[in-house]
Amino acid sequence: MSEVAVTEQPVTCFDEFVASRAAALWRSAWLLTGDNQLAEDLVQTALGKSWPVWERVSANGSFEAYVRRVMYTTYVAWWRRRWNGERPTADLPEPPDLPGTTELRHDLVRALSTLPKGQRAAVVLRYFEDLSEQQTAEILGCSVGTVKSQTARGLAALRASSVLRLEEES
Amino acid sequence: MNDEQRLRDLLSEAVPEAPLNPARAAGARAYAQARRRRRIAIGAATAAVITVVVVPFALVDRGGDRAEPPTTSPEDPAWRWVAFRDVEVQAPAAWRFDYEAIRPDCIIPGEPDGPWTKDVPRAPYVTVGVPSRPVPLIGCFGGPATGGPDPAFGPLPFALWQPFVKLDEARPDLDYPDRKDGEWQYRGWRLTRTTVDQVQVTVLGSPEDPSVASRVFDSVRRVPITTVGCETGSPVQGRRFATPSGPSVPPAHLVGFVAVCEYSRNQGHAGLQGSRRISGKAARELVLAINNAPVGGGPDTPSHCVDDMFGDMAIALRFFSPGEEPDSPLAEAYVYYDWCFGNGIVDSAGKRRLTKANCAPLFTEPPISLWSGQRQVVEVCGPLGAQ
Repeated sequence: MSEVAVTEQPVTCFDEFVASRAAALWRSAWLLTGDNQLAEDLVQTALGKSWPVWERVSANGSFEAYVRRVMYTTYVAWWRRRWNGERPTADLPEPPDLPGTTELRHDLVRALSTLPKGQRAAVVLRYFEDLSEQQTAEILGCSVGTVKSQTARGLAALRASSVLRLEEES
Repeated sequence: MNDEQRLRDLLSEAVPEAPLNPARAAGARAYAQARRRRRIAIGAATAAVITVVVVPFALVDRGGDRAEPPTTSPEDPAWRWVAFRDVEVQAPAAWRFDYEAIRPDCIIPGEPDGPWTKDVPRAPYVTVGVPSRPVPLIGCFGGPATGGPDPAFGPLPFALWQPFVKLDEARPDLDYPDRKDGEWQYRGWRLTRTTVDQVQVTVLGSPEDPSVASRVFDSVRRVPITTVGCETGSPVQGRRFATPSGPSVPPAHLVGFVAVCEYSRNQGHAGLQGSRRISGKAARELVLAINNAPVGGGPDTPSHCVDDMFGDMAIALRFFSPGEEPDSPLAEAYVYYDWCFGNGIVDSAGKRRLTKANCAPLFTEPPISLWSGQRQVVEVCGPLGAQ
């Protein structure tokens, strides 16, 4: 994309998009990475990859979906090739804001970290972003059948997790 | 409540609030523009290299000895990639790294075992950059001004010639016969020099293998990341002491190999001088030694140096999982060793002290060698087993 071709209007709107939606993207990225800083890196990378097509993609109103797709596929490819720096620790770096929240967050990160990246992405899209199987398949670039199986396996693993007790105690 | 709804509730409850400004539009645009410039630079550089390399050869009748052009991703075990700055070429894998004689002009023809011949390579070799060895500034009386057949070949006597590939700083300001681009022949030996931007590539091929120059020059390319795994320019080149971003040094069991990348500082872009890999068990031992080193950096002797200079050389270590691509390191660390303060191994988690176990292994083989330093640094970074 040429700098000369970018007009004032699209630049401002991209800024507005980032200002309004970066936080929501970050929360999803946090569930994928389990780390504040890595989540920022992932969101920034996805936005950087998406910026060149801002004008074209936003014209039909689907830019956020595009960014999410870039973010999730970047995550899956990225984490295949990098050590992400996660170290299991009893002490979280950020201070707790509510009693019990820190331990819950810790347990969640530990449980999600046991999932393969594809299952983790499917679980976050289906149960945090509340997307349908079809929408999840479009973002991950796979079939609905793959989404079904990835989600089912991820859910089964979390259900069996000793740190994340999903089943209600009777 | 079923477990799917329970999971939804847990995810919503546990995810923290985003920090202020978790992403920036300006940063996204800068990222995109940097990616685009990188793609354009690689493409343009490739075109420029083809132009530079082909034209000189068109002036010389090279007969029928032209080698097959190399593949773009050669896995021919007989050849390997070597790099200097941002120029990478293929060289015969059997030709080990070595250094040229310090004072070839002091060697007397007919006396191949004289006092100045001990550092002359005795087998085909690859040499990269200019080694920072002390050069005796003495006059060599009793010998000819040059022992070579032509000034273009330099002063090394013909009897001591070995085939070589050399990557060096281009010095168009030096009007020396043995620094000019061109091609010369002598008794079946062929010497070829070509400049690619800031790098001069020189090949001396023997009568037994006249096609080696063709293969080397056909392979010349400019790269942002070398095959070994080093960026050709690094933040470690900066004037002060930089800290790498990204993850800290990983646990040893995750590491398959470490790229050791030596840079000349204060030299602008693409300051890579030498690079090599440490692999397997040696790599894991190195990582363990880094992670187990005392926190806090050093050894430093700040009273020995001025405080507004920061050294001339530095190393970036890039850690890779086994079989990983050279552009996807797990983490990076910077090694500062060349000055009186700021020494140590730095990653995003902090700084550690240089020790025998984490420093000396970096300098055991060319093209990376430790030629100077404060005594306390040389004691831990110098050749293993030596004091």
